[in-house]
Amino acid sequence: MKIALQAGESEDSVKFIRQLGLQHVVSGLGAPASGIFDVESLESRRDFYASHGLCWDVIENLPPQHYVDIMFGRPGRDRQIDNICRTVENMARVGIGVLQYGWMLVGGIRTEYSPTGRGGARYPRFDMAVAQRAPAAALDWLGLGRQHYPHIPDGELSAEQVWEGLLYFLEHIVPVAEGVGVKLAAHPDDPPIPSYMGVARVQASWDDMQRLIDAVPSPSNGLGFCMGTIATMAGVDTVDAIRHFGGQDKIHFAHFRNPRGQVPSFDEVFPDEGDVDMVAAVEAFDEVGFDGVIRIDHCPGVIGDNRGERSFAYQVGYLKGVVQALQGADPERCPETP
Amino acid sequence: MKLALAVDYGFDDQLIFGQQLGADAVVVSLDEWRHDLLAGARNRVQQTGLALAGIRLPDAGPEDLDALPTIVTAAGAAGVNMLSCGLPPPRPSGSTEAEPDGRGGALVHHYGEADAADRGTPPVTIADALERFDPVAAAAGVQIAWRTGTPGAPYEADLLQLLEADRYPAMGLDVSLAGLAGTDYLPALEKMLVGGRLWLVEMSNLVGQHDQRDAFLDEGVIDIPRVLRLLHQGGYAGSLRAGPPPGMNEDSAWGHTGRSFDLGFLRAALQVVENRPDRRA
Repeated sequence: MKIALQAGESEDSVKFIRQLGLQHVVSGLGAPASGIFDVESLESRRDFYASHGLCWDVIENLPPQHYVDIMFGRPGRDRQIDNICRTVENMARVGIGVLQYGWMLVGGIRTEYSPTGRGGARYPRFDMAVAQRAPAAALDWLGLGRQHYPHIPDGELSAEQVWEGLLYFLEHIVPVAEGVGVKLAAHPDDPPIPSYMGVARVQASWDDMQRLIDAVPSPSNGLGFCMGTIATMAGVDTVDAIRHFGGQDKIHFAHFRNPRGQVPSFDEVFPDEGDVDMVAAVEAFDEVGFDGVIRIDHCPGVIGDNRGERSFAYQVGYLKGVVQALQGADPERCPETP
Repeated sequence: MKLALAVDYGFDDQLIFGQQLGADAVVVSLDEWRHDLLAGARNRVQQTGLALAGIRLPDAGPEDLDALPTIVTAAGAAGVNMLSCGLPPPRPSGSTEAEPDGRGGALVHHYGEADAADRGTPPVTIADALERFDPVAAAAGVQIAWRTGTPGAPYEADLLQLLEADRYPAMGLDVSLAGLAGTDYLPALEKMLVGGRLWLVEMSNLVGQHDQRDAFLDEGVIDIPRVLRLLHQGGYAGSLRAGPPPGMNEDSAWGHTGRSFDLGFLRAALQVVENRPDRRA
């Protein structure tokens, strides 16, 4: 596996990643008004990372604005389909092999960020009872006051309606992605609850993920395997899930995170104290031959850590420690850019 | 084995930081030889719920050693049962200014062959030190771990030989792995384990066999997981403290971010070593 962090555009960002000994990054590109990531922008960013010895492997994420009409089944969805196809083709031209997207019509939700963790660390927490009591606030759990997305929906949508949009997306995008060798990675719904604010969430269970894979069979159709989200799915064993989906070669990208608890309530905790045996998880990734990118995910808040670097550094060190102790040092290589 | 964080006396945020990142214990460093700080240091640690793995005293000059009996007695009275002491600098002090030559431009010190000649002279021989301080330490119920880890350093060979003689029950070793970089370190550690006198280990690493620089734990010539496995199999029950890491971009002077990385690395490697058989080639 290739360990990565999400990188920004600054020298400081890439320096931090290099100092942690990583050679792979994932990144988004904002949300250009054209709805397309053009070759020039992709090349520029790719070359910036390459100049620091970093390989840009995954676009994380496809901006929801670029496919919101598809998700909600609105007029304009075919224009967005065309735009995403152009983005996928452009990715192939510059050698970025994976595109992650989520199908969360009402986005990611937490309800607390309180100093209730180990030594007073701040654990992001989700509690369905709180989310139902204060739904709008749960959409803005970090108090950022985000305006554009996620948003309170205009109306209710059933699971069938949400699936219709997702299948339309897959049927049109997957063939193009397969044609140019790009892999799509669907991030599950976080938190994995069946619906929120009257809008169904259709990537919230083991069966949902398998249905997505089976809907459009293709080497390009797969999962953004967020360990933290999958671990909070009711009744799901994450290590079993790695074997099941990885055994089908459907883990196209992964997130490294360990929670405690499953829906209806859970905390995001440090990797060494959550419910998932992270050593067994790394062994399972190895068993199924996963050679993709695993990105260190968000993690608890540590004292004085205004930018999150201490917490991220701990998780990078942790994953490297597991890998080295199991497998020995294995210098990673970045494939040459085309 | 306990995962410990090396903290500076008086910086309570470092204790909180250690607890949040899952350290089991701390080694508190004093920057002067003061017996009146020991009880306070122990209490501060105790109040956080962490264990006190030891108090680290600065490298000793002749006058400092005169104060050691008082400090040992005070340690015993305060319930501090482990002191780490050093005679000369335990390894070459290296270039005085850190330079951005580490991984990704991290700030590191360099250590060359020339530094080896500049290690200083111990204020007393290690034999004299053991003879003089073992009775007072034994009487106070305090163990003194002498810092070492550099083969060929003025007193290491003598120290090992003296400990093998088993005449000094209150005397033991505090070894720095970085000091063993570039040597056949696994047999050396195995030898230290025999007899149960290895009491503290500083987990640190260097890049390079001769001209060396500071390193993060995952990148140097010391195979840290292999060392952990050797210690585990050898029944080592003491603490492992991460040494000062290379300086990271925009990190604090104490190196919170670098220490986070090293603590995470050690915690994970420990989990593997303690729960999985060795499958590495």
